[in-house]
Amino acid sequence: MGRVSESELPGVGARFDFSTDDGEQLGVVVHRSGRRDVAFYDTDDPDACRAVVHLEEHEARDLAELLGGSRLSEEVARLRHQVAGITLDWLTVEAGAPWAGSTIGDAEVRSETGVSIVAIISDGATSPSPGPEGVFGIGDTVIAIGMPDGLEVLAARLSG
Amino acid sequence: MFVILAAGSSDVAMAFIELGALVIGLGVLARLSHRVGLSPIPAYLAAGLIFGTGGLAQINFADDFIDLASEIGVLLLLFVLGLEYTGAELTDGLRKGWRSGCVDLALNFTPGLVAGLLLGWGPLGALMLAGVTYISSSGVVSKLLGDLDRMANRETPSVLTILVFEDLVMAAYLPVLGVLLVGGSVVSGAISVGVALSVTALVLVLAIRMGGPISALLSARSDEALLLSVMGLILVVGGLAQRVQVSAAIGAFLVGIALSGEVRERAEDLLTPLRDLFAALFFVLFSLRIDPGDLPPVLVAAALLAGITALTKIATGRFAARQLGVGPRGRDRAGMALVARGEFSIVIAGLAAGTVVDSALAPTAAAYVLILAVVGPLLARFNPPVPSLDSMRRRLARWRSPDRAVAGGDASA
Repeated sequence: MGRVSESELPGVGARFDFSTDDGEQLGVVVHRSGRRDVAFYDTDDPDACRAVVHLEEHEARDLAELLGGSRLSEEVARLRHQVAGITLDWLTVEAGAPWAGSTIGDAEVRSETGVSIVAIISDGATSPSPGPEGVFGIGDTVIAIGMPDGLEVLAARLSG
Repeated sequence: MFVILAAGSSDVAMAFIELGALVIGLGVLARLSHRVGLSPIPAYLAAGLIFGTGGLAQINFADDFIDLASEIGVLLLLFVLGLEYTGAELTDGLRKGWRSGCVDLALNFTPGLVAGLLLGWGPLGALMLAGVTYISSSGVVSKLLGDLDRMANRETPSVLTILVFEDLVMAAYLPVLGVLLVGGSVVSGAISVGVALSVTALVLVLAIRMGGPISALLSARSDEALLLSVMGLILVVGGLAQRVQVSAAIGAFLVGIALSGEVRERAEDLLTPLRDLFAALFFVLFSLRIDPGDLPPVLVAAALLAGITALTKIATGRFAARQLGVGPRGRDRAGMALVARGEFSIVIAGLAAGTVVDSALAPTAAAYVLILAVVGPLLARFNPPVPSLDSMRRRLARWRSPDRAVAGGDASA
């Protein structure tokens, strides 16, 4: 990433600009409310934006995690490096599933399936490396890592 | 409330029905304005003019309440304006924005002042009209920047800095105006202005320095407690300021500046809906008091003034954006974004009610704001090509001396 510059936006928040190696100009407006705008500047008129994406606070967090440098992606990378041949899976907790609503500890996930739960994402809020008290809420996304057959068992227990 | 209860239950019933009908009407207007993407302020003003004195409807029972409510509306408008910027942003705005702020003042205060004098309203009326033409509507402008996705644009800081500077000018202008409206001899007036300005400056510095402790004192876990204590503080400080002739509005403004941190954010969430209600009553009452018959004679003057001060605001925005090294298109956008006048022009004109100031001020200000609160957002949205003041002056010079066109063009170039 190139040099980041900051400009004050009185009454609104602040704007951060940087340019990529390709010469693309990007800006992020951080509103006081926690909202973020990601702006892509126009090449014809460098003072204006070609496109602006508005993100609520939790959406900005999700995007940041996808872009890396966050605890979740580091966690995934760390686990992936530990053992070769393991698989990462994204599963959704369905209503009526055997484990829907129960905690990781109660379900005895580790002994039943042998997989590690890397994160549970519910309503956009992510809890990375949840402990035994982590809950499989209906509709949550569960990120798990482990051997393929273990993940299959987990997938069965999380689907209705 | 006591007054209403004492007046008998049938009167209370009528007062509720009148007030309710009025608020429902305003609600419909707000809904329509939002649908077309405009500020509801011109709609409120137009409704008040149509139904105003000598017009269709009369308010008989709820008028005491509406009077007081509209005064509270002014306080809340100024309070939320004060909340908008932190003390650091205000001092920063003064340091970085003084150059474009002074250009703004010179270009937009002067036309109102000159027009007021030409219309024969005397120095005080001229000073008020100058305030009306000077101040952009920070509400309309910031909403425009958001709606048009221009928050990240590079010209936007220059627009916001102009708004911050105008905020500070209001902090000096309103107390002076408050004192002058009370009247008195030149000497006592000068002393009162001096006192009012020193008090305001002192409180402003205290508010910026002491914002933390004041906010800590007000801080409460429950929204209810925070709402009541902040609202009470606004009214008490406003009343005290009015007492020493600094104008209640400026008191409320200073309370807004003094709040900081988490209290500031929550107060904004809690009091903005209240402001919307009371300010709507203020706008409609302002224009209800205008006799529709007074409107036609001032229309030409208001339209001319609107045209001139739209151009001077565009020039201001262009100048401010150029200071930041923004290109020509961005400069145009900055200029057009600032054209809209709104709530504060009406607040200033509203102060003239019941004073010696020429009664044509209110209808002129109403027509003026009606025009620019509609034209401003349209200009900002469509960015039509508008010639610069410089090129217009050159064209005017050429037109005045047709036979020496070449020489004239050279002289001004």
